[in-house]
Amino acid sequence: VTDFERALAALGSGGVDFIVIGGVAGALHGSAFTTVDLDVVYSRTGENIRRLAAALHDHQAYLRNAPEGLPFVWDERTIRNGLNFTLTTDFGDLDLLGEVAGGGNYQTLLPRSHEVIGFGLRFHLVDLDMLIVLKRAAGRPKDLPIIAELQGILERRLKTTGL
Amino acid sequence: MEASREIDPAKRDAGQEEGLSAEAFDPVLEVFKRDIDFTLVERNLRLTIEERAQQLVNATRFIDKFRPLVSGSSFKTR
Repeated sequence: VTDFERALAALGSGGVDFIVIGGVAGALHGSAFTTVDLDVVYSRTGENIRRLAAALHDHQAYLRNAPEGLPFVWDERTIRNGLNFTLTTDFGDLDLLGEVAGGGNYQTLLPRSHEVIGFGLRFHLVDLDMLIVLKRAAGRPKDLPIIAELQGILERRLKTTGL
Repeated sequence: MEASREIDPAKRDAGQEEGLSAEAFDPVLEVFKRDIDFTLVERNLRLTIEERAQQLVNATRFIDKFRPLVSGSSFKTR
């Protein structure tokens, strides 16, 4: 189970540009489904990759479900040579996505996000309508009840605010 | 294990190319909606984002506390 406060604090204090998506985003939009890991889309600029490498340097980042003992080193080179990483860390599971189905990358997703304060921190949260698009694009049967609930939230929001 | 995998550009842009939208009607989703307890959602919507975050933290702490007890017993979840 991920310690969301520590995970976001590590990214935020490291100056990493990222957008929270996935189950945490759903919960912050009002979903009653809970989640145990954190999914973020990160910026692939050289400077941000440097910050991301430094931010997780002391958190024992390793590939989730990979055999022990692989020569995996969390550094700028690894991030640059890769794209999407499903990691374990000392604060729990963390999915770092350079690109996401249906949403593209950090730059294309940024206009479909807004800044919020949660877990005592300020960060970008994907908009509800875009979160639904991402979930639909992922095409996972396990997401169907979650998408249905998120659509219900969106419908209630449209009814009450017209936005 | 998943790392360093290039996303299929067609899938990456699926949302735009297939005209996927958040509101698009889907009969399958309508069936799932019938089973969702929206009273929980409406209670959540009355909370601030910070309060929802705290609620999530509390839920994960609860899971953390009780999961070892469940996994160590004869109780199977699947």
